[in-house]
Amino acid sequence: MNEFVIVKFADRRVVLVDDVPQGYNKDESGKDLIKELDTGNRKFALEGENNYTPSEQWVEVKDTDPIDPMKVVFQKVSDDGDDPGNGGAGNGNGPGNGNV
Amino acid sequence: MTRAMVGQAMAMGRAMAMFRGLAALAAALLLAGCAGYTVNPKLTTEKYGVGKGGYRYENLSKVENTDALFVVLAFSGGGTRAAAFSYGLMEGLRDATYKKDPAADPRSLLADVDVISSVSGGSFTAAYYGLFPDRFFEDFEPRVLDRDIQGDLIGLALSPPNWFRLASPAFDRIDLAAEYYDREIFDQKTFQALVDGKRKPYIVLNATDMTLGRRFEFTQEQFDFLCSDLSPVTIARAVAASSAFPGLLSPLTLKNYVDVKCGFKMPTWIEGALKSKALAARRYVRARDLWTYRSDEKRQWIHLLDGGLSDNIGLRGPFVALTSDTGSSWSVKQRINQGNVERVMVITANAKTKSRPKWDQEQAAPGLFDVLGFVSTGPMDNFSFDTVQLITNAFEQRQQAWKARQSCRRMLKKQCGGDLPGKLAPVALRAVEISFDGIADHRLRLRLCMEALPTNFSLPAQTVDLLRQVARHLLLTSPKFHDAMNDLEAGWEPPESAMDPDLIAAVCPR
Repeated sequence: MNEFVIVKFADRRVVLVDDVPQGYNKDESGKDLIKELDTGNRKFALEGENNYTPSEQWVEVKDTDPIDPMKVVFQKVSDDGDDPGNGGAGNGNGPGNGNV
Repeated sequence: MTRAMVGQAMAMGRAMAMFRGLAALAAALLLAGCAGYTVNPKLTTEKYGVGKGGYRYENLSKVENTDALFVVLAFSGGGTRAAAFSYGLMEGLRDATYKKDPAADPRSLLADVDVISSVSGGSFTAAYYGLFPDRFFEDFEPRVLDRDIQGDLIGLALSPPNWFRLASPAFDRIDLAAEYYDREIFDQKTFQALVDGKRKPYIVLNATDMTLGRRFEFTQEQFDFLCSDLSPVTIARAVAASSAFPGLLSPLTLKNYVDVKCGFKMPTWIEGALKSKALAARRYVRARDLWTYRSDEKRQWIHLLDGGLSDNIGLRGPFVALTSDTGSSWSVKQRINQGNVERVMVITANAKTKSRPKWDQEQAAPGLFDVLGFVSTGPMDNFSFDTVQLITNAFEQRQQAWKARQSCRRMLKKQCGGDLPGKLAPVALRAVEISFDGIADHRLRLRLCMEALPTNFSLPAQTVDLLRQVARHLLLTSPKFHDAMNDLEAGWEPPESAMDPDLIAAVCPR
C-alpha cells in the first residue's frame, strides 16, 4: 500500500527511511514534503548532523491518508545539549502522539 | 618390399591406429575432466565494499539522461519471436522523437530509457542493446534475429567432442549454450563492460530461482546476497539463465558464498519487513525470500531457470521499483520522494501467443502433451495479465490520491482560506502495453497469424521482419502511447508506421 508521511523537523534535512534517503523533509519555502512509503515497520532518521532526538525511531506506518498524512516528529537538540521535547509519530486527525 | 617388411609396416600401422585411438580417448577424457564453467567469483570487500560498486543503477551516469522522465521498458519471453518484437519496439522508440520546447532539437524517446527489464527471448535484445548501443540497429538482426540459434545449439549438443564435456557433472547443456552466446553474440563481454560504460539504460536480466520459484536478477544488488562479484560474469551466462527453458536447457548454477564474510549487512528494510508479516505481507515475502541466500539454510548453489517461469513479461522487477520505496536500487518511488522524477512511462513488449485448442470440441480429455503445454503457459499468462493490472492500478490510485488532495485544497481555500498539510509531488504516470491483442480487428488474419507463431530460437527472416513492423506499428499507433508523448510535446504526431502488405501476405497467407 502507498502510505503518506510527513517528517517534521525544524531544519531542512534529508529524511532516511530504513537508512535509505527519501529526499528533503521540506521544500525551500518551508512547506513539508509528503513522503510516499510502503506499509510496515519503518525506521526513521535524518541525514547529517546528529542534533536531533530521538536519534532514530521505528514507526508502524499504516492506514495513512493523503489529505492528512501521518506525522513523524524529530526535535532539535539545542546547542547546549538540552532536549526541548520528545518526538514521535501519529496521524494528524487521530489519537497519535504527533507533536506538530 | 619383403613380406617381413610388410608385416612390420602393418604392425606399426595397427600400433599407430591404437595410439591415435588412445590419444583421442585421452584427449576426450581430458576434455571431460577439464569441462566446467567459470564459477561466479567471491565478492571482495577490498574491491568494492558491499552496497557501493559494481553494476547498480546508482552507478550509471545521469548527465545525458536524467531521472526527470523515467522510462522503463519490459521485454517478455517467447524466443526469437520475443526478441524480434522487442527489437521492433526499440525501432519505434528510436523514431518517436519529440521537442522539449519549440526551439529544442528533436530528441528520440529511446535516449530517455532508464531501465530495461527482460526475460528469456527478450533478454537477447536488452543485453545486446546494453552492450552495443551504437551498433544495435546495424547488426542485432543479422547477428541474432536471423541466426538459427536453435539449430546451432542442437549441432553443438550432437558434436562428439561435446559429449565428453557434457558427461561431466560440472558442465551441462546450459553451459554449452552460454559458451555459444558468449562467442557468437556477446563478444565475450562481461558485466564489467556495463559497469565501465556507465550508460543508461540499466539492464535487468531476469531468471527464476528454482527453489523459491521467484525472480532472480543479474544485478550487483542481487549478487550482494550471494557475496559474489557480478562484474566478471559473462553477459552470455545471464542471458542463458534468463532463457533456460526447462527440458530443452538445463538450469544454470551460481555459487552462493554462504560461509564467507564479505561485509554484507542485512538491509534495514529487510529487518523491518521480517517483523511485520501481518502488516505488509508482500513486503515480508520479498524480504524472507532474499534472506534465504544469507540465512542458516546454507543454500550453497543457486539453480536458475528461464525468467519466464516466474514472470513472463519482465514486469515484476519494475512493479517493485515503481511501488516500493526500498528493496530496489532503482526504486522509482524513492526517486519521486527525492523530487527527481516528474514523469514515469512504462512500456511493455508482450509477445505472448494464444493457443486455440480443439479440446473444447471433443469429449475425450486432452492428452498428456496438451496438459503439459497448458500447465507450462496457461497460469503464467494469467499472472502476467495481473502484473500489468497491478501497475495500472497503482498508477491510478496514486493519481486519485493527488486529485483528491487538489479538490480538497480548492475547497479549503474557498471555504476558509486554509491549506492542507504537506505537499504531494505531481507525477505523470503512464503505462503502455503492446501485444498482438492490440492488432486492429480489421487485421484479424494478421493477429491470428502472429498469435500462432512458435516459441523457438529460429524464425524465417520474413517473419522476423514482420514482427518488427508489427511492434513498431503497435507502439506508434497506441492511444496510450500518444497520450504519453503528448505529455512531452503538446500536439505530438507519430511518424509513419504502415506495415508492408506484401510481407503480411507472404508470412500470413490466406
